[in-house]
Amino acid sequence: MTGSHSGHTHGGPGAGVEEIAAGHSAIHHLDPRAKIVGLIGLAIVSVSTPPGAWVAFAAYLAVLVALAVAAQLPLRYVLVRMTVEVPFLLAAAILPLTVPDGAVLGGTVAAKATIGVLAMVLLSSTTPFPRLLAGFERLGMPRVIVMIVAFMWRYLHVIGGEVHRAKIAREARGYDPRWLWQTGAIARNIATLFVRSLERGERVYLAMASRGYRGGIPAAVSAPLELGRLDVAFAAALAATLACVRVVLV
Amino acid sequence: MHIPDGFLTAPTAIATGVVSAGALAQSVRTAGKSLNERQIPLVGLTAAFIFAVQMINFPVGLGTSGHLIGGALAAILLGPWLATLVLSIVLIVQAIGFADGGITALGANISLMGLVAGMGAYLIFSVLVRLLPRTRTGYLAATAATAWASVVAASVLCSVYLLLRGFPSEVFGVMVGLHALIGIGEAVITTAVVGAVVQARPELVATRGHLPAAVMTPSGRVSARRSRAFVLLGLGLSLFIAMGVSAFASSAPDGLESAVLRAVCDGDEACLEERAGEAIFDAAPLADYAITPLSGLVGVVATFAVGAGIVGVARTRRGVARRRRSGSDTHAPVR
Repeated sequence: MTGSHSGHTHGGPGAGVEEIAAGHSAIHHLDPRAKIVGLIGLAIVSVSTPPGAWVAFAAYLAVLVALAVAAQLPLRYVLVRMTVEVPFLLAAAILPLTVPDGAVLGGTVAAKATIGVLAMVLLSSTTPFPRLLAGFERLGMPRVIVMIVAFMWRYLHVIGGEVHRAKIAREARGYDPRWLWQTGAIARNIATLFVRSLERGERVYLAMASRGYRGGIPAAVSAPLELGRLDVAFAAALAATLACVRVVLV
Repeated sequence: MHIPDGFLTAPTAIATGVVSAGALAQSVRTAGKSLNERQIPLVGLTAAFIFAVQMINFPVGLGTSGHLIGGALAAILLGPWLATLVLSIVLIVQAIGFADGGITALGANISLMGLVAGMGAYLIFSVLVRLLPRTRTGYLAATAATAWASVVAASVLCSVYLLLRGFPSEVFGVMVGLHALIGIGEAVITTAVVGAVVQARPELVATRGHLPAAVMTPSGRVSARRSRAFVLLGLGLSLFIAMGVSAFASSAPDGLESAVLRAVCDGDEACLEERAGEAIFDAAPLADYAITPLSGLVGVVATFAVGAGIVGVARTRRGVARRRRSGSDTHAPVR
């Protein structure tokens, strides 16, 4: 689970991402709203580009690579995170062999998927998750969803740590299942995890209630955001570039 | 099955986005009502639980491993609305925090792994659990079938999305065939997990209303003899239907086959004649098999063997789960 991100003892699913996201480049310091609008906008513009517009796809990719370089993201880290799209790239790779004009369709699909993944890796790697969430909240994501996601993120690491310790405990006792039907202990682990999660949810709620929580949802989950001149300039420059590419190069 | 950007047509992306946003809004409303809206921490923790479950690897055999998708697990343990909400939240976090599943494909991914795998699984489960006898075995059999069916159903819808994008029709056979296999793993693990939770804390399970009353008390045990009689009766009936009825089965193409043939031939009678009886999906297991009493027998016995294996795994775990119950239930402080 810790995979190739070293240096994290918990092995929670966010390990590695958060250290990188806490960096100090100019891109990291931009207001999350500017990055959310800019990068999701880029993904949407890329998806709306007609098939075979290779110059446009290359331009989107160039913008993303420039931003990744400016954010000083380690190359290896970015490549590892981009492996999530591999199964679908394989699906796209069969297109040229099976359908007429499949090379154009396959190349387009692969390009759009790569651009989308890189855009989201860039977003999550340059913005700590609570700030990202605050950005989404200020952009109008419903508060209930924001609250649930915030709780989920907070306890993901607790539960991830529990999973990791249970795994170590099983392995320390020589548990090494090779086949699906030998994995009863892992299944019972999950059952225990479920019971513990519900009980922890109950305890957290009671603890909050005893500190004055009455079911309302507090404003802004994290520190207030301020949209500076730099943020507006970033979003405007990105929008202008995208508009140029989409209109002129297609 | 997390679809990335670019794999959907614009109408598909927009339509699934609208449907998923509506379903999400409705599940926030309904789940909020049944939980009472103060219980946001609980929803957050169950979402974290499902997220963590998806990261736990199980050995499948031959050195490979897989993980749970968790739709049926969420639906059976949490109920339909909370499951849909929690699964959707997990997908949102995966899309924005982990780049897993495209941001423009979020609606489609929620429709597959939130709506079909969550809400759909609940519907399948509530039908199956009513058809099966109201015993622990019946409940777990419904769980296993639901887990398998929800994975396959999601893969069917996913291949429809890909076909609309211009992928070749073989995608259908490959996707659904692959997920029919993946679904077996999903069924085995989901059943084992649900069985262990039912054994230890049945009062926490949302669908506990379908459990026999005896399971809800610590000393409750299902009569083994009655369930054995039921199994034998069901097996006999299935064999009778499979071997008897298959003698009358039609060798004409079924609805899907004929629809595909008609599309391929575009109304050309000669072509229809020539291609009738050809396998339309070469990649499918047992492509173009003939229906004979023998194949009916093979089918029933194979299905029974898989089902019995799943239930057997769940049952051997029972005793251990009960022993764990008394000892390991310590309460850690809030953190």
